[in-house]
Amino acid sequence: MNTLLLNLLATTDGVRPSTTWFPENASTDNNVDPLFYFIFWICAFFLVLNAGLMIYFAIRYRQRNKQGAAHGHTHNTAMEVTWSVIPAIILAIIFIWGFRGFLDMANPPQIAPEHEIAVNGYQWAWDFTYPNGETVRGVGAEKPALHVPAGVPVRLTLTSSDVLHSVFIPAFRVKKDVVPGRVTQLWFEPVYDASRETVALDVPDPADPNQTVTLHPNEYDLFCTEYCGQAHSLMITKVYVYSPEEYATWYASMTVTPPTTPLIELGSNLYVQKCATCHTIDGSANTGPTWQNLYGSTHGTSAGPTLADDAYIIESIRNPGAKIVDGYGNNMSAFPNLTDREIRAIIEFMKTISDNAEADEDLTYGDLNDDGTLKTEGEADGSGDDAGGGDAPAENE
Amino acid sequence: MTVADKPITTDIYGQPVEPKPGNDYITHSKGVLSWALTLDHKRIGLMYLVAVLAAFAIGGFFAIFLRTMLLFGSKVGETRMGFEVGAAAWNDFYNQAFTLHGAIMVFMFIIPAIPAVLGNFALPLQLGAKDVAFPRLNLLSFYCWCGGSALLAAILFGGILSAFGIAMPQALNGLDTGWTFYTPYSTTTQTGVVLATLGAFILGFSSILTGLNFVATIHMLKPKGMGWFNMPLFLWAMYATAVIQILATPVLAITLLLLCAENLIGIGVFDPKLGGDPVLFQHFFWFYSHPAVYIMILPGLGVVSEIISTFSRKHIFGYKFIAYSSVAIALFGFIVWGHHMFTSGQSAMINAIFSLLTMSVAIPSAIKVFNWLATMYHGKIRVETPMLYAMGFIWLFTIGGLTGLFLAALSTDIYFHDTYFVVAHFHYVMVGSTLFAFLGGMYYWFPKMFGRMYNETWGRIGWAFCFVGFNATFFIQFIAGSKGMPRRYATFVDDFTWYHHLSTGGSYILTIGLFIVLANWILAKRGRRAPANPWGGNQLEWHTNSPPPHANFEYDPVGTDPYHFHDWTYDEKIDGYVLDPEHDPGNPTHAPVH
Amino acid sequence: MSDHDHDHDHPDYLAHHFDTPDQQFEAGKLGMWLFLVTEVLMFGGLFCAYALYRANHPDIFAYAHGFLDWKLGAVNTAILLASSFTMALAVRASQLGQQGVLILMLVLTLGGGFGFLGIKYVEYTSKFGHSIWPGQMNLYYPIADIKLYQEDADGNRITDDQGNPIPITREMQLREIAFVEFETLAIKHHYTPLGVDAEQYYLDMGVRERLEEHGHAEHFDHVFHHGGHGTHHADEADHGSHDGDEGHGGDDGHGHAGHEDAHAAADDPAYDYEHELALIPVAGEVPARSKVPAPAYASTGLSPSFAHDADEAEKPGLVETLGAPDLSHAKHYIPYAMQPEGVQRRIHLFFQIYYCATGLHALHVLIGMGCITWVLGKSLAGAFTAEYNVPVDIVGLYWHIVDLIWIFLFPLLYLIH
Repeated sequence: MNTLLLNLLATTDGVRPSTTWFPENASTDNNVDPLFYFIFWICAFFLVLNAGLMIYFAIRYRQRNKQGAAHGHTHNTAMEVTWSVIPAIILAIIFIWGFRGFLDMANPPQIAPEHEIAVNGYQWAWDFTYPNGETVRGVGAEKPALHVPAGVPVRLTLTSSDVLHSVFIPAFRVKKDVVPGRVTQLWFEPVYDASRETVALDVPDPADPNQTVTLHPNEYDLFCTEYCGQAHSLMITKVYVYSPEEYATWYASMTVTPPTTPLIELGSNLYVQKCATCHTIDGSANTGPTWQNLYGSTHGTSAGPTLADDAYIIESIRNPGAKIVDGYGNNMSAFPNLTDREIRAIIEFMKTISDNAEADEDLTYGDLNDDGTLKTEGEADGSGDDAGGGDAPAENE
Repeated sequence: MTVADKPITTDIYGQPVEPKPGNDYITHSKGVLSWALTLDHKRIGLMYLVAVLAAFAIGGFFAIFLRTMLLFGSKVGETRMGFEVGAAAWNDFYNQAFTLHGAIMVFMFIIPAIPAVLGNFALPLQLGAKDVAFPRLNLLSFYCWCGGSALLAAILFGGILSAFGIAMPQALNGLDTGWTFYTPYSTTTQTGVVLATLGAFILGFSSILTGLNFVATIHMLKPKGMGWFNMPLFLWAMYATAVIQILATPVLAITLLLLCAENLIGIGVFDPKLGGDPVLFQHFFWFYSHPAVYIMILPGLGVVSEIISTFSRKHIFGYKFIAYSSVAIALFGFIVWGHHMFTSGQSAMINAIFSLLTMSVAIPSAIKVFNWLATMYHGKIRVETPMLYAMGFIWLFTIGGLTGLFLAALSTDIYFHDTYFVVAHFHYVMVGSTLFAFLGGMYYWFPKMFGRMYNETWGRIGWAFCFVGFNATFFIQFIAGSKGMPRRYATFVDDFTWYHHLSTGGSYILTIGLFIVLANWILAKRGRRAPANPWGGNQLEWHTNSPPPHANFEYDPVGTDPYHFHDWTYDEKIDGYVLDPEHDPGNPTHAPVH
Repeated sequence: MSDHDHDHDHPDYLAHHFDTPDQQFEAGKLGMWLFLVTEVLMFGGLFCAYALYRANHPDIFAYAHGFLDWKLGAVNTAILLASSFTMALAVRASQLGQQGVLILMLVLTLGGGFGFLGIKYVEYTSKFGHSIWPGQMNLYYPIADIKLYQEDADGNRITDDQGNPIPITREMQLREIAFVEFETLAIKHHYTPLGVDAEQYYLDMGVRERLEEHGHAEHFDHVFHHGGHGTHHADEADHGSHDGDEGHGGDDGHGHAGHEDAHAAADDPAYDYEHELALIPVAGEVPARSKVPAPAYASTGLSPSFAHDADEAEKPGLVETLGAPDLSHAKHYIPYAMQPEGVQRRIHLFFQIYYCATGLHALHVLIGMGCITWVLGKSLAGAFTAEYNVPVDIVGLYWHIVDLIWIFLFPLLYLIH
């Protein structure tokens, strides 16, 4: 009992909510809350009616001497028809209201092509690919987030690489299953409200990759709501809603990676974002082999013993089924959106956790060519304009 | 010293009956085999009781386990309960716990609970029959239950062993698909889906055989004087339930077989990689599993109809409406499964049809509740343990049913789908309501089953704990769901911590309540002997001794209006109701038979 | 029920909880009918899956069913119908108390069951011989990591220097498929391969060559030169056959020299296979963006005949894409490897549904035969009389449902046109 009381009282680490129902709404089109409150008050009325009558009868007609039995009507058709018809009418209203709302949610208005975002779910993260061909990278160790402009309708096109997922953004009141083998979609029109809590996001300045600018979007949650395996509950990320001006800045910054970014740091971030769900770096086995001491070692694979060198790692990322390490399944999806430079960054990161290789800790993103090779002395400087690597992701890998 | 204190019981006329070994079905024959191979529906009912309570205990353990994990769900990266929250081991533990909780509770407990325990015990008695139509099939159905459960238990223990680092073959490596086995996850996971689906398949057989037995029994074994419209309402409910069991379960069977084949050899019917369609699996699965929800609740509605009328000492109000509403719920239950796929991208027209049909289930449900209230009106209500459970049921069923409206309406369902709102909703209906009906029914028929009275005070205390605990656990989950908390989450963002703490606290209270109930039942072994009719009901099961003899009745009873209570008079000496032999149309000699 | 003192007139076979034999009989029969309802519903699930996939991919079902032998299926139907009739006679004989007739009819019924399973065995064996297997072994779903090993003439696995078995290559699979397909569909069932490159494709796959080994090359020529369909390229026959000799059919695509001008797009290396896949409706709302690799055909270096349509953006469905309206009558077919991979994958489904449905049905036949054997044993022991014959009646009902299910399966699987 002590534990129980402690737990009941220990609410200090949880945020006590300000409103009883629903999180704040952040979209223009809200077909959920009004109908909810309509049904809610109907429910409240009938619950109070039923429970009230039940308790009143139990007290009022309580029998003490156990003697005898009660007489009374055994039926009353008029009354029974009445209490069948009244709920039917209420239900019809609820149905029509709900269906109209649903049609509204299902049929998007005219949506500009630049506001179509391709969302691909995989165990256990989301890829958000924008019309410029870029896939969102997470900031630091965070998973990639969804960034949307306020004031315009946005459409998400949903696909899955493996199992069922479901996109749920409570603040926009939208949800849609992500079904492998199908393409589903959902839309919303976000609202930006500067008076609400905002977060400060530093992004590379599109005008000058060596600088950063700070943006102030509203931050909301995005959940996966269709159970998808081990880390289902970690398949969550943030939605950032920008004012139109800030969104333009963010959109332009997508293609910019600051040339000063240390390669190992970039590789480490990419590992956390893309690889950590299946590959450990502490030597324990997971869905895939561990990366500890992987680089430079030789393993038995489906194509015979193979040395894990640069070429092997590039192949394993581009074409994961080519050489499968013995004892593991052919489970990995290809990562066509990783650029050659980024794969190089991952390789540098792998070197740091392998006894078989020495990593060059001084390398930065700016030291690489688009194809991932090191720049020669002559190229090394003055290539800032190109450093962002506006390289469109290798589409046909 | 009254008669009631003596080690003696009384028959329906108030005449003392010496409890001689062999006089009742419990002492009819001795030895383990006499139970294991029994064809007596009452003994099979008792064996089911022990079995489903064991399943309930295991499923309940997992529930408490995962609710305890959720106390720390927001502390991702910290170490709690010996694990790093949010790490692979933590997630695996949680996923397996909720899967086994769901699978065990649904397939092994809720579906068989009322039909197999109370149905097996009371259905032939209420019919005045000596047994069910096919006693051997009945026993087979019990052993199907055992076989299917053994497979699930094997996976469970395999999962526990592998959690302790003992390597297990995949077939025994626990189960983490959720009880719904959704493809394609269930065809890719490294856990024991094949054995689990086979287990559920065999449990399905158990369910089919029980249903088939009950339909044949109700059709063929009604006594003289009992037509369809003076059957006790519990029989109507069981009949409707049995029809669902017969019509829906085979579809689950083929679905699970296909899933097995998919897992074993890769037939591809549900696998998008092989050209199949995962949503087809959902349709197949819910074509069974939605009606299965009514398999869980309909018997409960029947039990409550009996208790409300008997404990109000008044004829049930609107008999035909209640009877027809059971059938209506069963029929509607077959055509609403599509509401589980509102967010899967099916066409708006299909969504609209399923939404409308789903709404229509609310009408027969509402009819029942109103009729119960009308039955209580101007009754002579005995507020005792079974009645408390029945009233608790009305409260829980009203909340569970009304919150179903949010999920039947399309736009709100899109928001609430797969959130804790749904979890709370179906726990209110399936767990709260069915569990309360089951416990209420157990208390109601307890004297008849065991020939002993339980402790009334502790019965009420246990009820209070269960009632408060249940509402504390689950009501808060409606709010958590409306805040956006998704279901099946091993970890969550900070905003939801407060709700989870409250919910977990409530679940502990509920657990205490359930232990009180269990202790009360076990201690009733030394309770006073029950009279033949402690509640004054006129249903036929009260027309025989407590516990009944092996052949149920000493003479063939005659069906009368089961809700006509006026012929029974209260006898203070035995704290029970007695019948004037002159008023017993079934009594061939109009005199007590000894 | 008034007769409470009925112990005297309780026959042995009457259970204690029934009052009269009639009541017991009616209860048993009701129980059996209910059980049969569950059987029908169980198969109903399979019929549903069948209906869904056939509605989504009518052309695939039309193509794939050609591999089934409708004549064997028809014989089986006749056998089952006959055995149902003898079962009905057995029930009648038991009611009339004709012991000898009862036993004879039960034996005949049992014989029908054996006959059905025997023919089923022949059918399955022939499917397996054509590498149409249940599950992923199925050659008509040539996935990349399939593990089928090369075998010598005696069925022993060929091993490499280290003693490891050598997997069958993708190309060997395709050649095998092409041969079986041509033999089964074109020669046996007189279907015409569709598509301008079909003849070239079969030549490249060495089909004519293999037929020639058996002295049946004229079949090949007959299909293309007198079949009244397809483009004739007799002058290229030698060329293609030569390719086949070298064992890498269609390498470099130079087998297509004659087509280049007509189908420039076909050889376009940038041909967008993914786009082609997108034209195949999957199951639901919008076509999938598939991550699958290029179609099987591409890896052989050959070019698909439908490639010239690739530039047209919107295509409603496969049939239009292929320009083959006749497919709905299944008088023509597209060679397997020339179909987009999306289609290839779905062909797999037809055979899996076939195996599931007929396999589950065969299991029911087995169970029914077990029951008949039990009844036969009891009637040999003289257990049934004109008064008591419930088991015969009930087993008879079961056998009829087994028959009935087959009556539905046969046209659905064998007679798609």
